[in-house]
Amino acid sequence: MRRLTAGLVLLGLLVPLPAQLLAGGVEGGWPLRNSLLVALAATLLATLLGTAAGMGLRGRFAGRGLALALIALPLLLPPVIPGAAWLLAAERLGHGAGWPGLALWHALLAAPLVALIVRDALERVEPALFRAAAACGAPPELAARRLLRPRLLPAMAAGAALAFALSVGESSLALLLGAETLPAASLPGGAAAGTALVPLIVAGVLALALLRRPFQPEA
Amino acid sequence: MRPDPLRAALLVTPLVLLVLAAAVAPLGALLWRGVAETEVAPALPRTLRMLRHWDGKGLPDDMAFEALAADLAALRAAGGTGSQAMARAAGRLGADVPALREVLPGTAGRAAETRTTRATSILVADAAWGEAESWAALRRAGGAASGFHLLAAIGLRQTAGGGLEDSAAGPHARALLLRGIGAALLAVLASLPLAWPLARWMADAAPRRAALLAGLVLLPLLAGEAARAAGWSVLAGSGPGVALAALVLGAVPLMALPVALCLRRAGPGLARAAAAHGMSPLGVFRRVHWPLARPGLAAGCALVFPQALGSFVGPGLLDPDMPWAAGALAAAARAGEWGQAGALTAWLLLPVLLAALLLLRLWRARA
Repeated sequence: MRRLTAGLVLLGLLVPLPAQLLAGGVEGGWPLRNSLLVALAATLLATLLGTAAGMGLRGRFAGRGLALALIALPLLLPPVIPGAAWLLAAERLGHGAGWPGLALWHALLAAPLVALIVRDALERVEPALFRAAAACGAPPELAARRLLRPRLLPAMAAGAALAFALSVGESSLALLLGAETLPAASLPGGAAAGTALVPLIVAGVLALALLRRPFQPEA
Repeated sequence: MRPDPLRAALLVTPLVLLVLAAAVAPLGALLWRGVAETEVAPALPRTLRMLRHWDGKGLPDDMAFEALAADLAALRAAGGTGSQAMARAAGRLGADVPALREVLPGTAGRAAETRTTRATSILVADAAWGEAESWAALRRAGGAASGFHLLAAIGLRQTAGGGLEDSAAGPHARALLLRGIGAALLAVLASLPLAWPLARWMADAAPRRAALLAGLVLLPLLAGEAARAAGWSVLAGSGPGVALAALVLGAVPLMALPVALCLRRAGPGLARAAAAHGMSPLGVFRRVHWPLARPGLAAGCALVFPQALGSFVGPGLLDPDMPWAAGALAAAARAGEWGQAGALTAWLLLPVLLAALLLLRLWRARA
């Protein structure tokens, strides 16, 4: 019974996505290029900063709680508010500020997720392994390299895939800033109604599922 | 092996600095515009300087009338830039006291044609200058900051005596805000029962299937609001019901994923043990699953409420006639009405902050 309800809810979640393709022909071009550029910049920034933050958040330091709250802030703001704030900033800085603003904001949305994934992956490394490495005479740098790096790289890749997919799909800020990315252009009346958006996202999610396996039981 | 404090702080610093520069600073600037007064001060500097000495009782003295005449004459003499400044000032004053919208340009024209002392020419040109209300509105709008936009966003205005009264658009403004907050609350409450079976399924499934399910649930979330809204508009047309349903369904993944992660991490052992000892399914739900899922539920609510409160793409597409708070904010920002946009931002941030504090307490109480 519960399985049936869950299946129905899942169906309800997924049904609008293919329907979007019915809305019109597939048209790539400028919106696709814009989306990819913004998403690449956002992915790069989010992965770098998010990984560093995820590694740092494992330690204890003064102001850790405040840092955590600030890092999570972009996810907890109603999406229209950063849109309006960046529109005001773009007006003040000149209209060229819209594009970097969009990429920056997408990076800030994804960075906490990257940090979460990285921290989680590193926390799973058994502390006993470090003691064993030290007992065998391995210097701490070597132990860190051999024990942490194999966990770090897949986590970074998963975070990057998530950041990319998030940036390609985000629409609120793109619409307000007037950026012709895929979601903005795929609305009725946009330049490319019914676009190649869904396949892109599918690729991102598949990559995520393959790289991460987030529900693997604890080792 | 945890990083030492200095290293940890240095690793976190770049992201924190970027958040401060790219999120906190623009947000602060927007909020400041919600209280800043920028329209009247550039147009009527002399008048405002004179009004500083006015005690607010009765009419200001002759010097204020003289200064107003001088300011208006200067604006007329300045040509195009002057008339623009006057239009902005008149717009701002008219938003407070509707009659004043016409008074300022009218006075400027008629006072220039009257042959008396400048102070008298103002009074002759328009009777509005014989009322303390007009002067009080002028003084309030001429300061560096005021609560005018904040009050207007909840449909109130300040009277000359300092009290508060309903503005002309009062009921409409309050309905706008309440509708937005109500819809967000509804999204939170309605997504809970929808997300629960989905989260349990993800939590209980075998690893490979759980990853696939999580990917499928993540899919509509990552596809974005615009894609979902476009799909629903093809399938179901538009209307308030469709907009609300799309809002609720859009919130389900955000609620289901944290809950599923939480339950998955706790493992099936406790629930199995409770069932094996004869606890009823309802009891297992109440005593085992619900407490285990509480941090996930708090995280889900903390994500869903602001997302639903600030979504304007979907409602704008699926129900264009119904103004929502987020839609009004987006429209104000597009039109460059920064006073209104800043005030709406403040009123939308308030429930988000309250909800975040409440959920933080819930979370801490368990952990």
